[in-house]
Amino acid sequence: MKLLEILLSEDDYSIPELMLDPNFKKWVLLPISVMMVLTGLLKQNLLLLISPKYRGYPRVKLTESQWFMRGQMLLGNGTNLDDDSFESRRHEMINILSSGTYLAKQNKNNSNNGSNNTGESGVTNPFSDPNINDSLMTMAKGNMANFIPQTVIMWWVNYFFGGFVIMKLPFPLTIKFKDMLQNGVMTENLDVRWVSAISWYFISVLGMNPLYNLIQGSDEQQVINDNTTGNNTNQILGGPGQPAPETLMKNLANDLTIATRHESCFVNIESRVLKMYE
Amino acid sequence: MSVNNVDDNGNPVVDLNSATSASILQNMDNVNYNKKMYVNVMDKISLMSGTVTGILQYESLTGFRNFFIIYFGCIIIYILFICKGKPSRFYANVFNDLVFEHLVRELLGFVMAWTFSFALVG
Repeated sequence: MKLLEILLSEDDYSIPELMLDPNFKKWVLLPISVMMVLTGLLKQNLLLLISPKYRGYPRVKLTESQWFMRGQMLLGNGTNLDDDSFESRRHEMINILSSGTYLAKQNKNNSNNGSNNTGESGVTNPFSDPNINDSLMTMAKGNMANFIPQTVIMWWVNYFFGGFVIMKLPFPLTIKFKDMLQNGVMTENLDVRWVSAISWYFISVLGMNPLYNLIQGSDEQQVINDNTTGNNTNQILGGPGQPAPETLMKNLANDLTIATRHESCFVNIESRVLKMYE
Repeated sequence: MSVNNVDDNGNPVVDLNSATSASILQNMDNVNYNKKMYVNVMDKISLMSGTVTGILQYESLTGFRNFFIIYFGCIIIYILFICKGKPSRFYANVFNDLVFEHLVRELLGFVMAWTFSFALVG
């Protein structure tokens, strides 16, 4: 509420204006901005370089996931089939999913005589899967690549540009921000809108994402996101923290079993097509 | 720029499914592509509007008012002209995808551009 009052009062808080040396813009504001942009770009390219190039999965795992997705697609897009087609597909899918024909675990048991990486409780040990280890390592590297440049830049700004006011913010702030934004400036009654270099650093850190997106291009950003978080379009079942694939398939089979109310888009399609050309 | 599920002339493809079912066939790849296009547009708009607000030396509530007018104005224009008035064809959750998901990101981008140009020009 206090901030709102200050915002509404606009110029009531203004005190006699300061005259800043115009060289501050050239030698402080611009270098910090350029460094922020360059560091951000460097960070993104670094993430691209350290991310794993290829993440493979066994064929049985892919088959398992694709059958599960096929069931989901039938459930979601079944309205585009006529009643007979939907029913035959539904029954086939229920049989396959409930019997676990394409479960990767079952195939692995058959081929390896039951030696797999599950414990007695049936929970997969995430650290025994090299793909998960890779993704955890990539996440750790991504976090390192995020905070190390930020720490270095913050130190650089504080070391070279600390202790003086460089700019005036276009919006008022409450007095509580004074300690943070005027850090090192020994003036008790100075308006909080006059801030030091570290404030510009904070504003840049928070607001640079749109600029990086425009400079870097969204495709590369997407690659980084995919590689660092492991979000692929083809989701692999049974990741860490996820339910077992067997349970998911059983649940989907149950969903398909009760999906008896099918509404086909082909009902009265002739009249609707004719209506389009009337 | 265009969003997916439209033909070469920019007209939305007639979806026969919509006549019988409220749920429209949506491919998540298309939805993600549309979201990416929308974010690119809004990023440009927020940065440009922030820069212009700073150059004009707007302060305090006037600047934030500028942002919200431009932000919501652009959403309305996007829905009316790019999505042809039917955004639910192109986005899974219209309000969240178009209004709320990127509000903070665009506001912070606006504030950065506003502060920077305000300090440079002032």
